[in-house]
Amino acid sequence: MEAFMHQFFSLLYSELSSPVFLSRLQFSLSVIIHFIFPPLTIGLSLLVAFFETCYAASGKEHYRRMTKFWGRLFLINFAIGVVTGIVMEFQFGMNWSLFSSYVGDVFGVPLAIEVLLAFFLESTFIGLWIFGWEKFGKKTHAVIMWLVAIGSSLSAFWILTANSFMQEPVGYVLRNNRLELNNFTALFTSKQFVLEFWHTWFAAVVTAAFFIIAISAYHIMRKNDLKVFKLSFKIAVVYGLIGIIGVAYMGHRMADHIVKTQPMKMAAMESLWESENPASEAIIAFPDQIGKKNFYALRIPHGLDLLAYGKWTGRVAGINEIQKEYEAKYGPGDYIPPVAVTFYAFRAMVGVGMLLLIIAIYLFFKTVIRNNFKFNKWVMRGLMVCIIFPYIANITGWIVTEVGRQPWIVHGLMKTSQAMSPNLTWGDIATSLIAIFVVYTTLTIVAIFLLWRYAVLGTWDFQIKKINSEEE
Amino acid sequence: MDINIFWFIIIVFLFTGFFFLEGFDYGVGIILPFAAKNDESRRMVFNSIGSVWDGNEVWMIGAGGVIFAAFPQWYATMFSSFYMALLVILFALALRGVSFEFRGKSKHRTWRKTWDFLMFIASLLLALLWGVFVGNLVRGIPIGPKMTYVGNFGDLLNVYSLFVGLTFVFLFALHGCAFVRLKLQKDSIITKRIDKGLPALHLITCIIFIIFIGYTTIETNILHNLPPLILAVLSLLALIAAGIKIRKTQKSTFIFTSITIALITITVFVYNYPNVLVSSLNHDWNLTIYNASSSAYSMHIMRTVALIFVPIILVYQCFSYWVFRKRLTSKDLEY
Repeated sequence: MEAFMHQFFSLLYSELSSPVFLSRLQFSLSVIIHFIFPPLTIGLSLLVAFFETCYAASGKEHYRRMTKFWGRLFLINFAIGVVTGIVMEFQFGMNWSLFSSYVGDVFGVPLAIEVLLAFFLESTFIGLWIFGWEKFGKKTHAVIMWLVAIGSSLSAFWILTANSFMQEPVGYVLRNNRLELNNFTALFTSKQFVLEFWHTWFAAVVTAAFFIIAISAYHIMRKNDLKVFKLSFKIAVVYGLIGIIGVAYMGHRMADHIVKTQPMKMAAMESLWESENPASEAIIAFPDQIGKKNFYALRIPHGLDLLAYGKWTGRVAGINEIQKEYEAKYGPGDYIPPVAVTFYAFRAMVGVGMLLLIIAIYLFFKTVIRNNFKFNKWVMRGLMVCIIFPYIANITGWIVTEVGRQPWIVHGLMKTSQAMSPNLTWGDIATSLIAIFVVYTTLTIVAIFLLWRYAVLGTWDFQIKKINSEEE
Repeated sequence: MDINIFWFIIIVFLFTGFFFLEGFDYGVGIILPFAAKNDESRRMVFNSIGSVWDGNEVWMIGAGGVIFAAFPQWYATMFSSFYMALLVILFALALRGVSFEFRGKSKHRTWRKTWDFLMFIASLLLALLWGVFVGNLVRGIPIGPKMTYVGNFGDLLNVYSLFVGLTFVFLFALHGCAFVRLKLQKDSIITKRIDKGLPALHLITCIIFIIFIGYTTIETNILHNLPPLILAVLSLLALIAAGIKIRKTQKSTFIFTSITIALITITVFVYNYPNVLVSSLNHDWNLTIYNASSSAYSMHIMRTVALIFVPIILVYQCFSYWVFRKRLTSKDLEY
């Protein structure tokens, strides 16, 4: 382990002098901070729209409080998600101009469609929703929230269309020294896209579900507005259970898929240096990126076959074999992604996912089926901590996808090292890296502080209005 | 129509919409500390654009996204050239964007003052830097033979472009004043304050604008072409017309400042056409709507999408203005 840590940090240190690495670091920092917010936006917007629809349909007062309370948290989260997202739209050109000109003919299309279909929709209607409580009837106001929610999911649809092209290029032809689109529908009907979209979308559902579960647990413990929070809790548990099952299923299908299309990523996720049949699953590994082996690995026989193929035996190609294959196909070079990062990010994601699945099943039977909210206070506190888990899974999942694809920026077609803007110096990127870090971290801290404050505040300021009309 | 020209027109349209809409958004931010002297007034000024600013900002993102799809090389070269300037623009957009949502979230004096200040400074910087951006588009930037930027950040901060930035600041401030007056009660304290300073602001803006046109004539060969010359003169006339009975005629002031901004944006693009980025080193290295474009297939796909969705967007954005067409009252201070 010592040798592993030493190698890890010395590699990291030597990479820091490379502008490309720094640019990757800067880009991943802004993506990771940005990606804290959109999953909650997507998942929560649908629920807020659902709550408001219940209110419009039944006229029951507590649904109004639910809409208002979760809506307010949604808006804080939405604001920071939007402003950190604008950066992304520009950064492809700013940091990766050679990538942009090489794949723009394909990649720019879903991005532009995202703006025209999704951004305009959500940004216009969010204003109507915030300021329109008195201007519209209940039903119209609920429809407006649905439009915002649809906008958010559409945005995920198109940006993941663009991203899945980088994982598995389809619908293009190599012409005029660049990639040109020749089949538009292939972009969003490819298996990679379908799996990636649903996997991410269900993850957004899980994020919102555990956000609501945690905050509701806090208020249930303090006996605040139990009507609102017990109901929110139950709805979120059902929502979360559906979400986590969806994530797990799509994730499983994804593993099944990328073992064929991006075998190197799969091998790195498993730190599998030599090909195996039957293939074993590593629980812990200390990969040796230079020696091209593991310093140490604890493996379960047949594990990887079950995971990737759902069979007892089967051949899974190891890193060293794929490296040789790629050298023959793409010429000399290092085609091995940072194995340790990919391996541990994958484990964190799967570990968290399994934990959330167990919690969701437990909560479903206890609270939804038996309507039992008598929890030990430590269990309640544990549920509050759960708010953080989907975020860990979202971020590490993203790291697996993007780091595991390296050294490619577009798999098999363009390397990350060929993609950077040629006019940028190490100093430019270092400056922007630090600036982005400072500004983004500050904004994120302020946003979390506000979310905390208003989450804890509860619904009391929405209860003043016509409490007597409560039907209880 | 030539598909490249179609996309060029769409992008000019998006930029025009962007400067027209964000022009008064930024302007409102710039005049905030001058027009509103207490917390309540400041919230009122914020709320005058509260329901629409987000929808307005998408015009800029729309222009960026569409350039990426239709002219990837333009997108790549332009965004990497303006790296540092865009970084500042993005930070300003971020701080400004969250201040709408965050400001009202605490009653603490320092908290609110901080967001008010950030709103002001971010709006000022945005107006200035988009001006610098436009200035450099007119003037040309050092682009090398491989369509990449060969200058540095300092090259973008030339006197001419900074002056265009200054022009934008004043133009947007005036435009913002004109907009706020339409959104507030005619006899409100803010309107009265604005009315008081407006003739002076209009006069200064006119003077700066005339110098801007003169400076442009010296710095570039814009006067050698008739269409941009006519447009520039018309935009100046519109600006002067905005000053007629400025305290009494609220609607016409706004209409005329809008025309000025729209015409000046169109002028820049008409002047450059068919170039989209001019190299200050060698005109053979210019980016044009042909050598920077996508394939015909991509542009045709996108044309279908645009022809369907741009009209829909226009309808619902107009609807959002129509819903909030009434002037704000003190009841609208919530939030």
